[in-house]
Amino acid sequence: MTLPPEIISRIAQYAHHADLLSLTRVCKTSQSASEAILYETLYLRDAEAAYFACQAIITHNGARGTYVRRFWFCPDLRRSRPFPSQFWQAVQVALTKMDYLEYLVLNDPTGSNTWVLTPGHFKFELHDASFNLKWDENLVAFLATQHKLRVLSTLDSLDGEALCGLPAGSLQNLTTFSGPLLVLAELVESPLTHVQIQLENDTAVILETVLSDLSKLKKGLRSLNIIGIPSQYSLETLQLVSKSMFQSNLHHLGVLPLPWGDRVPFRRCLMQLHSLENIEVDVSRWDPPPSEPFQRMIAAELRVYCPTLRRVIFVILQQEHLWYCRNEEWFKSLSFVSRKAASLPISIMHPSPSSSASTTPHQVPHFFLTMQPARTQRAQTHSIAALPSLAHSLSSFPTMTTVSQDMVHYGTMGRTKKIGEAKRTKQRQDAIPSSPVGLLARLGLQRVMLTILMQSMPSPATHTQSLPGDDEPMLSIKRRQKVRALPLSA
Amino acid sequence: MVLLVTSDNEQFVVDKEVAERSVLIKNMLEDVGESDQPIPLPNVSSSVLKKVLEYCEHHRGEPLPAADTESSQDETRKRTTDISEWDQKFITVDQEMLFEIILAANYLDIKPLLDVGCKTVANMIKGKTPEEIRKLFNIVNDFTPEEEAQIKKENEWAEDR
Repeated sequence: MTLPPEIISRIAQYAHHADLLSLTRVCKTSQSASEAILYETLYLRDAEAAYFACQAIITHNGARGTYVRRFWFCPDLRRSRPFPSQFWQAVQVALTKMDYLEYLVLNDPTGSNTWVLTPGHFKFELHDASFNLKWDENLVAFLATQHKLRVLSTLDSLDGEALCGLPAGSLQNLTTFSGPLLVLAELVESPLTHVQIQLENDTAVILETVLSDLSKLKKGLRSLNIIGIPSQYSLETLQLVSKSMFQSNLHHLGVLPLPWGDRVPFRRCLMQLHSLENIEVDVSRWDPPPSEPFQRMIAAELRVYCPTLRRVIFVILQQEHLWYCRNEEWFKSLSFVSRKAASLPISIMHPSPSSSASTTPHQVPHFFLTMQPARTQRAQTHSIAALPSLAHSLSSFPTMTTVSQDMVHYGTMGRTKKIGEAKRTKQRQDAIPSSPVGLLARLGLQRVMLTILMQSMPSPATHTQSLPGDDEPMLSIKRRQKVRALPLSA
Repeated sequence: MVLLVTSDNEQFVVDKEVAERSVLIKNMLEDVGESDQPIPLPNVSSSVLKKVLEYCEHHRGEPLPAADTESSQDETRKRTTDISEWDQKFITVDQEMLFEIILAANYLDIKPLLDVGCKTVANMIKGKTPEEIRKLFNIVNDFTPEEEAQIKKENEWAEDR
């Protein structure tokens, strides 16, 4: 007796990863059933694996490409050398086969291979895109074709290159953006609700201009997270926000350097934010850093002026301390986390004009032989991706924005550098958001962590009767995972 | 009470609540309205229906999976291959019967039973080679050795994950 294909597909849904691989070779029916699952979510941290996955997608007229919903190429940017153009060519051709792709993460260590996205060949319409790629004409042309895009994360344009303008009418559905300030200025037409800005020394001066534009245009803004606000701009930023069109809609605001001395103007601004639930304040410059009782006191003080406030996050260099309010009392979250591991000293590498290693399909390309970093990553890949539970939760993660209704998670963005000192010395390239890197990818893990955490610790969410936007457990996980998150409340 | 007639013309009289575990029967009853008309089930034999009704009887009263959650489940990997103790005992049958139950659950649209059956098969193939799986389920290999080797090579990137 034989089972019909729909039953085989159902069985494959329950099969373990290793068994899926066996099923690909049992018969043609089981091959398509199992490959549909294997290729649905491609989370690739290893360039070699990514290359061969792309080759497998390209072959047989791209039959496997139609299975792909999520393509996340997230190499360890700290270790990766530039990948040769053959690699990116394979990625490009593979992308042309992925007609139903919805989520795309491309992290190029050099940030320069935007030609991969040259439009004209792609049938997919992305929902979420996260690129460790510079903002240039290729990227802009590509984005102009992506009408369904809701979530975007990119790099800045390269030094010395003019910022490319986005054609009118582009990105009409974009609600979430994470990236440099100058790019944000291009997104005036998008209905943004969640914004994370990566501020740099040279752009900090125009923060006021962009913010005031933002404050006039983005009535719907619910979450604003600015990484790297110089302390002298802190109050000014808050003042702009408190007078903006979105002041009564804003649920999350960060990361404001908190003044040590006179906080009266600061508090006065807070009084204008009638929906604010989360605030992140940077106290790295305080000497000595505020102790726990002091943190509790400040949190309580802020709430006096902003009664909707329910979470205060204190950022002290590499650490974050999350406090949450329950029944008018402040509690410190268990998730006390060192952010050291999150700091990725990333710099744009300018590749020597690509190595001319020629490869033919199905041959080990010679560039991999010299690609030690990719090799060494393998162990890492293994440790995370081998977990069946991760594979499950990853693929069952329908969208970034459904993590919870209220949160969007980012990679190790922004916080990747020491807020105090690094900022003063850093070169522009240091500030490249090491990006949304792992973020999508980590969600799976986070979800697992969330489940564990929800079970193992008394969560404030359960006490506060799940008010909308009660995302404290997520917040704490975020810290644990060292994933930069934008807690977009309620 | 509902009257069900199997492919081998046996008649089963069951509680409406039990019969309605099957979405197919539930929809039929809703379409037809109150009636004493027997419901023919030409794709299910009496031995299989007996087994299926045993399952429905045991799980009567439990909430039925909502239709919309089902669609979202389909898009994603199934989470677990855990089967409850009673279900596990219930599904411990010979392979012929297991397949019959799966097919009947599919036809009658009883998702929880279908899942129990599919999970059981998924557990049976655990750790097996393609050849062993073919043997186990009597599947004909429609690949040439070259094709099979090619597929293995193409999917090699996904090993050790």
